[in-house]
Amino acid sequence: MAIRMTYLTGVVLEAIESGHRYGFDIMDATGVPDGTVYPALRRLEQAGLLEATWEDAADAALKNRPARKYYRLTPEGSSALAQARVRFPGVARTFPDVEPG
Amino acid sequence: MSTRSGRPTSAESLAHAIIRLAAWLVPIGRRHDFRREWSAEVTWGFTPDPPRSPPGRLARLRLLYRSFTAVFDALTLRRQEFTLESVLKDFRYAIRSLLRRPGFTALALMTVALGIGANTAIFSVVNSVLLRPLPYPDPDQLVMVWENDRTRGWDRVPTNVEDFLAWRSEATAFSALAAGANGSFTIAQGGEPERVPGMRVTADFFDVFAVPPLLGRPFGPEANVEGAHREVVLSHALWERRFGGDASVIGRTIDVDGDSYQVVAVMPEGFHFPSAARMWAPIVFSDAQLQDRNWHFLLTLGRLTDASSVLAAQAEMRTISARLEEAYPESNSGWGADVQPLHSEMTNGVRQTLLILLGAVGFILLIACANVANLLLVRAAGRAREMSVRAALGAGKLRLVRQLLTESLVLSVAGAVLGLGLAYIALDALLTLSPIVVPGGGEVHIDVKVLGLTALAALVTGLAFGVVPATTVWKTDLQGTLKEGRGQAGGTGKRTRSILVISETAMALVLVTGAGLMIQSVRALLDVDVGLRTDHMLVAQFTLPAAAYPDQEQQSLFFDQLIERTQALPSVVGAALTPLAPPASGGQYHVRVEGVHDAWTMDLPVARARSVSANYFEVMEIPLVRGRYLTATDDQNGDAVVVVDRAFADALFPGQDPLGQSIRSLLDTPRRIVGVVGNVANSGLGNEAGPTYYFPYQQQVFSTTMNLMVRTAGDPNAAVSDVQEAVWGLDSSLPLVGVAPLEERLSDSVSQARFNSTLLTLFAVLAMVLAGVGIYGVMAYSVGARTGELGLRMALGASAGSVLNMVVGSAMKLTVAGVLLGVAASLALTRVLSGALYQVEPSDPVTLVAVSATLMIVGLAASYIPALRASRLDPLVALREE
Repeated sequence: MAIRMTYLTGVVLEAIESGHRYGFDIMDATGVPDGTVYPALRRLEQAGLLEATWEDAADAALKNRPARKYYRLTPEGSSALAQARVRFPGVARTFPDVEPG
Repeated sequence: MSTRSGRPTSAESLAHAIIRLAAWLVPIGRRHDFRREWSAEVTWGFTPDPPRSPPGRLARLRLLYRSFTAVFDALTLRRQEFTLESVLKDFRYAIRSLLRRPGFTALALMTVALGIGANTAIFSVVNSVLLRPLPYPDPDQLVMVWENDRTRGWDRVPTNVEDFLAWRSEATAFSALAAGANGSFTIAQGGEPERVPGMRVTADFFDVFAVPPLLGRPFGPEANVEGAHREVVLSHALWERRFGGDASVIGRTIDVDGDSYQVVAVMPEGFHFPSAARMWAPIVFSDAQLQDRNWHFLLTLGRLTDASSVLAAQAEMRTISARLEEAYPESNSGWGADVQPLHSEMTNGVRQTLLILLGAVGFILLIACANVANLLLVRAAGRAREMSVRAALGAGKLRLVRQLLTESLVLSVAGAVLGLGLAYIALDALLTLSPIVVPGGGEVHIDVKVLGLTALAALVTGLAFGVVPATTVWKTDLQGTLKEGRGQAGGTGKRTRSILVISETAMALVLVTGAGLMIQSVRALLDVDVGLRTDHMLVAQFTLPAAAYPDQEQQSLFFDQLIERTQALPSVVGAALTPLAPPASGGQYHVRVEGVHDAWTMDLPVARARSVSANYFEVMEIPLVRGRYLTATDDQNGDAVVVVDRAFADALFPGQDPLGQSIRSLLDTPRRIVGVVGNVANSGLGNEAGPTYYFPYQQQVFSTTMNLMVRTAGDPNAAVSDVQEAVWGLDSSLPLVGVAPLEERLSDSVSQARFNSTLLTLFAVLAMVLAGVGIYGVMAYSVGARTGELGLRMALGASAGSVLNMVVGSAMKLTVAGVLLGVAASLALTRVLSGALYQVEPSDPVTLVAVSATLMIVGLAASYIPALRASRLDPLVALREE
């Protein structure tokens, strides 16, 4: 399913690519309004640009915390991010000091 | 909620509560994931990792706000459920599941198709007749102006010439004000002589409509002056039929009423005013008409100026009328003027009929909805297990409700398409049954507006009958159903079904009552005592052209010869002449009784006048009450005599002997009353026959239009050609109009009432069948659902008869409730019919009882088959199934 690439989706993709992989962390990292992040995640996931996995239950239990949901880019997501970086040069500059991966 | 040790803060609890609430919005299949993800985020948010000091007040507020944004996420997830793909999937599933039950689907489809089809057909008539604007430029500016007499309570009276001329010169609200008088013309060019309906009009008549002629020019400004008036305008239809659509007809001279008229114009195809008119000629007011303010015969048409309105014109006309009242108190005292939109004037006659029919089909649609809702409920009950399995597999209630609504929409849309087809066929039949006149011309057809309404009806009905079963699914405990094993819809479904059946029955009863009342009216109308022998009687109308028969002597001579010739025919028993054949009414004239009334005033009694042949009463077999009939000696050499009917005697000479009294009417000659005859339906069937008097045409030819009334030995239709030959033997240029047996004319005169009653009967039968299907559906289902219980009863010794009684009894409970409700509704609703009824009260007890009994029989019949099935249950099989 196609998705319209906007600055918001670009920033969210960039944030995930930079290692901010769960919902509130992405909110903190991007600085976009809180209410827009999850809808963007759902759309990107539905479009096949993201995939989500649950944190290993055992790991979470060790830390005495509930397991969180992690997002990562699919190959399509990576190429979409590359396009977004061209279209919105500001996107790449948002997270200058974080290593990709 | 939290897997940490330690008590969650109140802010954290609140955040979790918000998420639990938001989760309700999420489609059930994704709800669990949604809650897990958000509560993990919130928990982590309130307990940073690695552990630091707990978040401050601002951070807690921020987290609360974030948890609130879960609502946006929930809405996004929800919207993702409703993608085009998922909707298409729903439709495919709906079609598959409908095709799995072809019997149910066919029944439901037919019901919807009938409901929507009937509505589409009737609405297209309403749309064409009542809603479509007149086919003239700025149709809202067109009005009719009537006079009214406040003292006598007379409404919509034609205008007299002088008032019309005063209005035209004084009123500023109209850009054009024209008048005309209906009539007909005999034309004798381009084929056989023919009587053509038309209108004599003032020169600016066509300016009012703002319709230019197709060919030629409208009447010149001098056209209403004697000598310059010999011009005619032809309608498109007449031009094509009589003149082969030849453009060179303009400027040609044709023979009209024995005189030479020049064709000046042909109107375009869509122009019909009045509806029947095929020809127009200028009107020339006679001196008598110009001087007599009591002579009301003009129809006045106006076009309002852009700046004016009906109300403003009405106000201005009131002022002018008041001035005329003051100036001419003798004739105009109490008289006013009334401005009415032309469109409503042209549709007055049919509006009530159409609205009644529209109401009837509205009921049909409601009944159809109730019926399909019922069928769907029964089906939903049978599918309770399917629903619970799907719920167990992760489909949310919302998803299931959506699925059910999709199914009902598929049903209603498919039904609407079928219904549209039915409407096309029905409309054809309808227009054959009664040619419906569209004001201003044009045809009744299904247009965009009608299609739009059909689509809307499909949507609304689909939702209406889909919501009921959907609500029951919503309320049902799906897990419980699964555990129970057997599909049961529970008490709500049963109650809803009962309510639906009761209301269906009630609505059907209202329709059947309406139809019953109309049928009785039509029968009463046809049973009306016409006052003469109607069988073996042929009627043929003709009009003597003034040019060929200029004076009374020639006219009278022609009439005498015609009767003689006709009576000589072997197939003819007797022949007489009358200007108006029953049930035609004609105008009423003031009557002065010698020695009682000594001047002509508007307050004199009125009566209908007939100049007949002396043998009229014998040929028509009108009974003599007192005195004598007219005889051959009552000619121009005899005394001026008159025969009156009983209504006349009762009205003018109550308790006295009318014989020997003298009256004056029409011309100022006194006539002595020599006989009293029985009343004849001289003013339409079903209307009270007003006073009528008859005098011999030999003494005074009152009308050059005559009806030859021929009493035949055999079938009157077989005498048609003989009679035609007799007339044409005397004058080969004389057209005969409306040649038909008298019985046919009488029956045609109630065609409007018959049309209403036929359609209402059709709708009533439809409603009854639908109600029957509804009762059958409910009983069949309930027998199916109670198989185990019934089997147990029979195993315990209940007889087949008692089971039968039980099932029929519970159906009758519903039917009786429906009938009672229906009777109450009928008493309230059939009052709208009262204007269309004749000799039957809207609350006629006989009708109500008969109709109630009919519906009880329908209920009985509908429940009998399932009851029979129940009574034949094998207890062993029934119990094993359980």
